[in-house]
Amino acid sequence: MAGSSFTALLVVFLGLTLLGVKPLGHYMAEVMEGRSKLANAIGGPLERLLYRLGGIDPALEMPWPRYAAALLLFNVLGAVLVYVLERLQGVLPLNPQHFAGVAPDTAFNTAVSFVTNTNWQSYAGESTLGYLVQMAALAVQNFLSAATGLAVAIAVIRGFARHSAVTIGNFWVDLTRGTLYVLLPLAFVLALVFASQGVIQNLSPNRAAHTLEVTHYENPRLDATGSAVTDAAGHPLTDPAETQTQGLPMGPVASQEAIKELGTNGGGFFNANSAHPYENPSALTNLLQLLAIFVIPCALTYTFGRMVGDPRQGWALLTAMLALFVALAALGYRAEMNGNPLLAGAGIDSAASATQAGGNMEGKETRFGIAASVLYASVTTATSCGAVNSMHDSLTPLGGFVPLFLIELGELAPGGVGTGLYTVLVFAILGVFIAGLMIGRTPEYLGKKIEAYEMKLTSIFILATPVLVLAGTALAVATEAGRAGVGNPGTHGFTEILYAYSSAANNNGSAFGGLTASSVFYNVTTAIAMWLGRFWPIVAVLGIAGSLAAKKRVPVTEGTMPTHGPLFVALLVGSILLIGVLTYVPALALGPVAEHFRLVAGH
Amino acid sequence: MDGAFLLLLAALWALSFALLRGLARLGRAS
Repeated sequence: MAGSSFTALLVVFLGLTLLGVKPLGHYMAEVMEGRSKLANAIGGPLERLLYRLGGIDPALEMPWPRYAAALLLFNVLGAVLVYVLERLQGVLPLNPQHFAGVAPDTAFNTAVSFVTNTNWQSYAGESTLGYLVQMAALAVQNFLSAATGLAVAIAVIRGFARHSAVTIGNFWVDLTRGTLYVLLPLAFVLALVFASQGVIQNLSPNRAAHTLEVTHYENPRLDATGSAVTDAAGHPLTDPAETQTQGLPMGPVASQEAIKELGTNGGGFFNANSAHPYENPSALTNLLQLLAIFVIPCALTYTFGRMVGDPRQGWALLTAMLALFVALAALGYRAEMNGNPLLAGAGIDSAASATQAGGNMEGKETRFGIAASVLYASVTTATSCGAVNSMHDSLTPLGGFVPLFLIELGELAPGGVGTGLYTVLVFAILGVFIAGLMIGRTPEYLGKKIEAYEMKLTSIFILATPVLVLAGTALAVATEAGRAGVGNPGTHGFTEILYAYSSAANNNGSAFGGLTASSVFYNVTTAIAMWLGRFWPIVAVLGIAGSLAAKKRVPVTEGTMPTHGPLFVALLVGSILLIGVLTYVPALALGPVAEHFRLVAGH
Repeated sequence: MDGAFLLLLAALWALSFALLRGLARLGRAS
């Protein structure tokens, strides 16, 4: 019964996603190449006005170094703008709660986080940010960072589709078209649907609600300087207090929520993210959010197939992506339904029945249950989204392993907007290279010979992120400043740190929780991981695109390995797992694997 | 403090740009 609810949800979710793949993938191929008459008729005047204002000649294409330089310049200026808006919010309008300027280290972390499509949040939105910063800084970057990823993916596709070419497109044109024709229309419609379902959208100050019951709580005792008073043992002293007033945070949530999912951004308007009823009120909005996260990355595989002239190539990539996703999501569900064996040992009934969900419900919303929570955790980490509707820190050790490993595989199942496609294409290059080594032939992919230069850049692409993850984790566990943030020392605390750097360097943004990551140490080190984890791979993959675009196309012969069949799909999945497992097994063994065996042993 | 963080951002941009320059040079050489 319980297992079938997950299977049914998974089938419905994947079925609806697949329905959108072909039409959206076809549409994106048309608009990104400027061939859609409908889009041109509606948005053409605005598009051309933007080029005129920016002094851009849309017909002028760029070689890959210029494309990458424009991308880096655009993003660093975006980060400066977000930083300045955060620091100045105390004197800016649309700040009804009168929040002061954001602290410099938090502002820096947040600026890098939103520009890199990570959306890691070391702050709580409802108690830190006014509406202007939420809208003009964060929501704008939600669009632009996703459009940046989309632009890179299209440029990489052109690398495969073109031959004997010196250019891979115009970054400004790709950025503009991705924003105007893909992200804005989808987000506009989805925001209206969310608002119709109860997601709030207003500019009101917070409201005070009078509760029916009196809430009793302990108030920390403070001295004259505002510091907590402690007893001789160092424990904080408190005084009993009661209240019948509850503050309800307000804000323009629906408009931010839509692009949060569609752009695989994931940064919540509120601290509880999509577990908050004002962000994700019902099972229907939950399903819509899951679909919004998955549809563009999945559809981009069709865009790829269409632009290279063989849609089967795109379907093969999507099959590999979804095979990894389904296998890991099912593992996560099984782990959560098995629950905590220590509770069963204590005589607590945690079996699924008509009256209870069973399994491990800690950290999950009762309105979503285990199936929709595990699916959300898998979807958000199989992409670069990072939105959450449950608290990942409360997952069982194996249940927590799933999102962590999905992130560490490189978020390519199906990955973020653009990032998923170009990451899986790099693994496809690695796959045909390994196959070429095994049979002693020069590797080829889509008629392009894969040679030394492409393999050097592939190595840089694949190694950059693990270096940042493992070096960041090592630094945190080796220093006092890093260990100071750990709330659960031991294997679980290690997982919290590993998850933080995996999430940052892979631009996911979800947090395992339990780790106090708002310190200067974590704000600075995770920001470095986010920036380099975003732009080093982008530079490398644009280099691959430029090199491939310049090559001649090799004719298909008897010796050409087909890259649209099951053999290639298996090779691709094998290459992804091989790299992921070899890179991360030692660290995973110290974290979730060790914690699982301790749990089984009764600790 | 603001200056330090903006400098750090500039340094991160420079590190990314340095990789770009290095890879472009490597491409011309190969």
